[in-house]
Amino acid sequence: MSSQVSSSQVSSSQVCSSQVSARHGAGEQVIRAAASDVVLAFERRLAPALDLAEHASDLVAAARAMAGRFAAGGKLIAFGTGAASTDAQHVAVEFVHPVIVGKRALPAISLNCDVASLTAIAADAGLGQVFAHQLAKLAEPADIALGIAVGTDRSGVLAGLRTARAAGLLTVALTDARLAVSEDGRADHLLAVRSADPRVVKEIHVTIYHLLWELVHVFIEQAACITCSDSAVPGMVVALLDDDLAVIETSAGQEEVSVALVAARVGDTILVHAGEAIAVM
Amino acid sequence: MESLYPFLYEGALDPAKVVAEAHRSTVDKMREIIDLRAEVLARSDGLLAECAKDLAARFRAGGRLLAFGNGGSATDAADLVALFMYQGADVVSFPAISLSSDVAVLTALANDIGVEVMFARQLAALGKPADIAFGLSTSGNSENLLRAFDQARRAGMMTVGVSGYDGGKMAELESLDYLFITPSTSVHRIQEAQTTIYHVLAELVVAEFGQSPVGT
Repeated sequence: MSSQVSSSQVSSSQVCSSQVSARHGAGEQVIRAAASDVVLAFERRLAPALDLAEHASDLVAAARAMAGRFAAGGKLIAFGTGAASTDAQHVAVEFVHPVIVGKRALPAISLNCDVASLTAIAADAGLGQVFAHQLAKLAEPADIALGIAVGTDRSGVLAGLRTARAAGLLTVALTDARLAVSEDGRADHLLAVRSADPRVVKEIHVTIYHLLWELVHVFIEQAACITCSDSAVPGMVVALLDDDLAVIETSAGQEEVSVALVAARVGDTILVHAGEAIAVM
Repeated sequence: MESLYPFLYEGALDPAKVVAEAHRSTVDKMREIIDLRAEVLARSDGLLAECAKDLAARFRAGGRLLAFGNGGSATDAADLVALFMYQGADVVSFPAISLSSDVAVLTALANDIGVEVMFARQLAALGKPADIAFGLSTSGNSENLLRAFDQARRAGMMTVGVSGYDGGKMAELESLDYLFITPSTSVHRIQEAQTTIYHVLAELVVAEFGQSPVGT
């Protein structure tokens, strides 16, 4: 991470000069009038953000439950309709490829990326059936279903959450105020943004899943992770498991780690960081 | 992570205290994003209004919006495109393409040449002088965005960039008509504030056509 950046470090000269000159041109009066719309737009974002801060305990509880599922070998399955489909993809990349160096990759997929299956199921069975069908094929009981539903176009997301819950998955729903009122009880964890504006809801959803990712790692590391300190830890392989996993013996006890990146055998001593073996010693 | 959760790394594992620490941190992060949005407004309010007018003028003249970004920013590009393409049957809509959503082209370019040409090559093939190139980056340093903006400028397109930190290398580009910076050191807070920036731009463009966006 770079050092704290103050706004004064970014001078107006770094911004294209055409913008600066235009602000002082003949259109300034018009621009100032329009700028009040900008102020109003930002003001509409404030109350829903404050409301989420008041409901932080719901978010913490969801993250803790999700950490338990990851620790049990589960994966995250994210899905949403419309703009929320981009959030489903964003959530998946957060977990699979963390922005903070050294955080282990956790398994996550977005159902929205498989356009061929999506359109095939939608054409035959209707858009409302796509996620339910994909979940029926891909979900395992230890998994987490994260459904994101905003506005009125949500039947497919709710059907997906129902299918997931029936299959034993942990279900987490990111929704807006309308859904919170009318559909409560269909997910184990319901995180609803108190706004009727779909764009504001999405913005708060982004903060919610960023924090879910961060807290999942906090809870996982607190629960078990011996190899998640600043430096790599050596350990001897005592058993090889399916899916490129292995149990290692370290000075601090046993831990299940990934050996996907190395050719490790039982008896080898391997170097592990953040749950991932990085070398055979 | 350790500096963010000092208590957690002192050794004792009291679940109730871990939850309390997580709660405190969550509330702090919410305050951070609220403060960051206020800072973005303070430094970019006039620029947002002006950019929205230019975007509307481009759409009136038959231009299209071509959006791109890497990783989470790729999903922002897709979200922005969907906002312009369809917000409901009664809301004005505009032609827009998400360059980062074309998996076949992107993997072909990455495999054959390299990730640095991804968006520039697409703009060279698709871009017209009336179009808008809209790129998002948390660092402002992504080589494929820097090349894309230069390509867009050569093609006569309007160029809009969104970046974080202090703007990164995007702040040094001569090929950007507009640059919006979300000044934070957290990639996550940067992304959240960037989402607000392009959402507000989309709202203002719809307003330029005499309509209120859905939900406002």
